[in-house]
Amino acid sequence: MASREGKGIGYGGRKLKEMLRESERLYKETGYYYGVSELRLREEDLLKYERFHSRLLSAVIGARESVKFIAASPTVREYGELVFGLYTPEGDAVALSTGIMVHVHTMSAFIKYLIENDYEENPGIRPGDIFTNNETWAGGVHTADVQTVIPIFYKGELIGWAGGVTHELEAGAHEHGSMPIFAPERFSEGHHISAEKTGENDEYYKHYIKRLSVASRMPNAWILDEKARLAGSIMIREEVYKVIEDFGLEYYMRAIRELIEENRRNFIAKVKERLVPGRYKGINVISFTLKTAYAHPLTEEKVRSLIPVEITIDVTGKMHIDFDGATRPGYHVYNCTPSAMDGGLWVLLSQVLAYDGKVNDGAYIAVTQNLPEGTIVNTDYPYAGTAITWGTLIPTYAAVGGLLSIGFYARGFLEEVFLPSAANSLYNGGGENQLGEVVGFSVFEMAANQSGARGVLDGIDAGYAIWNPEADQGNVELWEMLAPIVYLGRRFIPNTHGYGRFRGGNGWASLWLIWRTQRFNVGCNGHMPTLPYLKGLFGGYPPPSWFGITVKNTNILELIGKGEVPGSIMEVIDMVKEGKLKGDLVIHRTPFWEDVKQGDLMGIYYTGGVGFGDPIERDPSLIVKDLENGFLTEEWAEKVYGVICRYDEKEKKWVVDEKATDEKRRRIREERLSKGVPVKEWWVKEREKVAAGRLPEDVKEMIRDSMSRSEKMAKEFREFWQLPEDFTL
Amino acid sequence: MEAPSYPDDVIKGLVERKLPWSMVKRMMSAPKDRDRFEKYVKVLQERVPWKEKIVLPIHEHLFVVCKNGELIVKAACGHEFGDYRENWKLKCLIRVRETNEDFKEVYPDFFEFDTEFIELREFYCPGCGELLDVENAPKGYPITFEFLPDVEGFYKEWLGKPVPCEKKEESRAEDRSVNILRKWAEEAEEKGS
Repeated sequence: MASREGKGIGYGGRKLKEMLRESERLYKETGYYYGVSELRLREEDLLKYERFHSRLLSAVIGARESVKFIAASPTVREYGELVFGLYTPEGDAVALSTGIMVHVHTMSAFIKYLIENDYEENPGIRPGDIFTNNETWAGGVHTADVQTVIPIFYKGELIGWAGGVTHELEAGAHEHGSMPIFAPERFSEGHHISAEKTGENDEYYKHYIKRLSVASRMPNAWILDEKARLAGSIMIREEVYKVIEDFGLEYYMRAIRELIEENRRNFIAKVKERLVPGRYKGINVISFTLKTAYAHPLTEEKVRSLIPVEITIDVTGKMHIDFDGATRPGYHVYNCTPSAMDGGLWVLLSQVLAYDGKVNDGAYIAVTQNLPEGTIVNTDYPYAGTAITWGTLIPTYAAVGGLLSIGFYARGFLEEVFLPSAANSLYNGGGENQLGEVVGFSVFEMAANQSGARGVLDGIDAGYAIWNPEADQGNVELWEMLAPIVYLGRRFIPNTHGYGRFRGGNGWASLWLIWRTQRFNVGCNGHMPTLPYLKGLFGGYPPPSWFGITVKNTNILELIGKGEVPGSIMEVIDMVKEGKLKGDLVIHRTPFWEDVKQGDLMGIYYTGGVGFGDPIERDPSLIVKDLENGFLTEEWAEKVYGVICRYDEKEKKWVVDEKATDEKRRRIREERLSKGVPVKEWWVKEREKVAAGRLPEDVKEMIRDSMSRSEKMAKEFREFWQLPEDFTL
Repeated sequence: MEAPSYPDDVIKGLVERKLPWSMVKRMMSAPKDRDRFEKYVKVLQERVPWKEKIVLPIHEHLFVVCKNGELIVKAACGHEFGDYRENWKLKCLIRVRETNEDFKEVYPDFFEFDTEFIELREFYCPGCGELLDVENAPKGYPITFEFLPDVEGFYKEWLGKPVPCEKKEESRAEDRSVNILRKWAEEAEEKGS
C-alpha cells in the first residue's frame, strides 16, 4: 500500500502530494476548482446529482446526530460542540454536518498537513488508520479542539477522508478547564496531540488511550469523545461505500469536484447578487489585562493589539481580505495561526453568504486573505500560546461580517443585514468536586450568547454563537452534577445591549454558589474587559464592557436558611451594599483566577451584542417590550432612546407618553447639534496631540508596532494626520 | 425555485420595517428577487424630500446621489456631504467620549471603561442631528472610511447599465479624503504661522 516503488496510495495510483499539487495547479491555471469548467454531471442529470449530494449530506449529518447519543461527553451532548465532514483525497471539504462549523476547514488544513509532510511514506496511510491532532501548526485552533480524520480507501486507493472535531471540556493544562487564560506559551496549554497516527484497523492504540487517561482531569470525557469522533467518521466512510456502490466510483470522483466548483460559483454569484464592489474598512482592537497572583512571569500583563480589516470586492466578484497592519503576537493565549483564521473566515462565510445549497470548501477557495506573518493573526513564534485564538479571531470576523452588512444594506437586502458580534465569557473551574473527585471543566454556556442587531430585527438574546450557529446553552443540572457548583440564577441584566434602532442581543449573567468543596479554583476571561467592544452600524452603539464577581467568606448559607437567596449578580451586589449579604465582594473588570470554597459566590456576565441605527429612531413599542422583558429600565429608555414611559399601576402595563417622547427626541437632536463640533475642529486639536506624541503609552506602542510592520498602515496614519514621511510615534 | 419578484409595497414595508415577521422570514429563505435594487431605490426616492436621483444608498440616512453630474453624498434631511469618494464622516459634527464621566452618560454607572486606551466617537449629521456612526477607536487612531463603493463598476458590470448620472467624469473608486485633510493642514498651518 505504501508508495516505496513510486506508486502512490491515491486514486489512480498517484501519490497524495501529486494529487494536491495537481489540484492546486488546475485551479491556478483554469480558475475552476480542479479544472472543472463544466458541471457536466449536474447538467446531464440534475436529480441524480442532487440525490448524490443529499446522500453525502445525510451521511455527515446522520453521523453527528447519532454519535451525540451513543458515545459523547457532556460538552458534545449538551452543547453540540462537534462537527463532521467529508473530504476529497486532497483534503477539500465536500459536505459537512451542522455544529461547530468553524472546524470544517480546520480539518481540511489537518489533512493537507498530513499530505504535505509525506505521511504517505512515514508513518504510512493505510485503510483503518486513525489520525488525531489538536496542534495549531497542523490545522488545529487550540488544544481543546481535537480533530480525528480517517482515510477512505476504495479497492486499495485513497478516495477521500472523513473526520470529526469535538471540543474537550478539560485540556489538561496548568489551569483547569479547556482554555487556559494566563498561559504565556503552548507549554502550559494542556495535552498536545501532534498530528499523530493514533490507531489502526479502526481501533485506537492502547498506548494512546492510556496516555489520554492521564492527560487531563476529565479523561473519561475526552476518551468518550475520541470514540464519538471515530464512530462518526466510520459511519461516514461506510455510507460513502454504499454511495459508490449505487453511483459508481467514476461518478463519485467527478461529482465531489463538481459540488465544490458549484459552491465556488454560487458564492461568487451571491457576492454579485448581494453586495456592492468597492472597499470596506474597519478595525478590531484586542485589549486584555492579565494580572493575577498566579500567572507565569512571562505572561504579558497588558495585551493591546490592533487588527486593521480591509475587504476589497472587485467587479469579477472576487473578495480579498487584508489584515496588513496587524500588530505583533505575544506571550499570551490570543495568538492566531492561518488555520485558525481560515476557520474563522469559513464559519463567517457559511453564515452570511454561503449558507444554502451546497455548503463546502468552494466558498473558501473563492476568497483570498492576507495574513501578514509575524503578527497576531499569523504568529511566527513556534511556541506561541493559542488557547484563546477565539479572543482574536471572533471579533475580527465579526467586524468582517459587519462590514459586509453595509453591502447588503446598499443592495436593499435589509433582511440579510446581520452584525455577528460575539460575546464571550469563559468560565474555567476545577479542583475537587462534591464527591471528592478531581474535576476540571469549562462551563460552556457561552455557546449561546448574544448576536448583534439585524437590519430588520433586534439581535438574538442568549441564543447565538458565531462558531456554532446551532447555539445551545445546555442544562444547568449537568454542571451541578459534574462540579461543586449550584446555580442560583441565570438572568438578563437590563441595559446591557448595544443601543440602536435595532438593539443588540441583551447581556445576561449566571450566578453560582460553590458547594461541598474546600479545594476549588475558578478562572474567567471576559471579552472585552473595560472596552466597549466591537462596533455597531449606522449609529448603533457597542454594548457595555465585561465584568465578573466573586464573594468569599459569605453568610449565604444563613440567608438561604431564611429563604433570602440572590438570583442574579446585580442582586448580590445590592445585598452586599445593604449589608444583608456579608462577605468579600470583588467586582472583576479583567480576567481573574481565584481559589474558592463552599459558601463562596461567583458570577459572570455575558456581554450584549452591538446595535444598528440611531437609538432615537427605535420604535417606542419595542421599548415597551424591552421594559416588560427586563432588558431596559425606565431611566435608560429616556436617556438613550428618548422614550418617556410610565408604568400604569391600574392596567399593569407600561405606557408611552408620545408627546413627551417626541419632545425628548427633539431635545436629544438639539443637544447633539450643540455639543458636537465640526470634525475639522477636532482634527486640528488631535493632530497637535498626535504630532507631539501626546497619546497614552499603550496606544503609542500599539500604533508604532503596526506602522513598523506595515508600510500601508504607516502611510495611512501619516496621511490622515498630515504628518511628515518619517513621522513615527 | 424561481426567484420571486415582490410588489413595491412589500419593499416599502421592508424599508419601513413594517412587514410581518412571516413575510420577512419568507424573504430570507427564498431566492433573492432580481429587481430588488431598482424597487428599493424607487421606494427610497419617494421617501426623501429632495429631487436628486439616488444612485446608491450607503446608510440609513445617507445616499450617493447625482447632483449636477457629480456623485455626492446626501442625507435624507437634505444636508450635502460632497464627493462620495471623500469620507463623509470628516464632514460631520463629532462628539468624543473620552472620560468615564462621558461614557456614563450613555452607559449605566456600574460599568467601567479603559478610557486611557479607547474613546467613543459619535458622528452627527450637521443637518438634523441624526447619529450616523459610533466608532470605538484607540485614541489617536484615524477616523475609518468604512465603505467606498465602486459605483461605476457596480452599475456597468453588475447591473449592466450606465451610472444614472450623465455628466459624471469617468473614475473608479478612489479614496480622495486626503484632499480634505491636506486643506485642513494648510489652513491650520497658515493660522498657526
